Amino acid sequence: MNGKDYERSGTAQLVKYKPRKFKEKFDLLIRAYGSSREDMQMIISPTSSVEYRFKNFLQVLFEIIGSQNNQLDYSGFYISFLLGQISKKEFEEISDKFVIKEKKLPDDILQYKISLVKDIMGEDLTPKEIAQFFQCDERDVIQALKLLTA
Amino acid sequence: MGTKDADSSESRRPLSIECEVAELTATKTNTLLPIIHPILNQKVYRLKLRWGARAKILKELSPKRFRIDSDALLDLGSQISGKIIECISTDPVGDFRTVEFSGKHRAQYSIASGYVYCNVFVPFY
Repeated sequence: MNGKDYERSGTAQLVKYKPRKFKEKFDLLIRAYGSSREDMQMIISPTSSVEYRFKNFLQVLFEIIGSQNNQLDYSGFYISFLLGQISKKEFEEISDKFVIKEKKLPDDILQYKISLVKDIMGEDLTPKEIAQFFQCDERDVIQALKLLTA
Repeated sequence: MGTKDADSSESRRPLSIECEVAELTATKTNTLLPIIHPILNQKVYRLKLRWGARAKILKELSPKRFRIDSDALLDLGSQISGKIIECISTDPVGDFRTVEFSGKHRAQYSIASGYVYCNVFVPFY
């Protein structure tokens, strides 16, 4: 595609570029934006940097979805127990599968996750619930919340 | 060791109870996933009571000693209330009934047993 083609069409198109001077394979994201062709601006950044940002965000979302899915599943069994469809002993056995195994998270990662979950779900969350999302110790969550509000 | 009366504390509002049997009353109840409690070192079931939450001791611990909170109320009949109360018990809480709560609303009522610990997470004011 030459310059004349671009000016005539006015739309962005995929350009095949064969690197000759680079020995290593590269991966770039090119973003063009603006209200007209005259003030169009372009940002070129490595895909890995954008990927890293979204990867963390998506990871937190996946953790929340997984936790909520478990919660729904558990609530279903709990309702069955309340309605007398399964016995107390059966419920206790089933609930063993849902017991949260707490893991230790670094403070900075936990703070990032908590700030994100607060943005998504609002402020009315207890440390127990937040700890449930990320399967970590409630006391670590309380500590992280203190640091966030300080 | 942690034996305080609900009426005797004038300056400090009671925030938690520990007992063998407690009655739980709330307009909205959420269940949370069970965990292995770090202090008790055993599986506990968790509930979050909302909207006019109340927890009252029906049976004291024997021996009457706190296990989690040194400031917890331990006496028979002691109760706590708040906007949100978090409750853990070693036995699953079942048999919810609907009871009269206020002039306008009714509430869920249940009995928690085993080892029960309730604490006020959000007070009324």
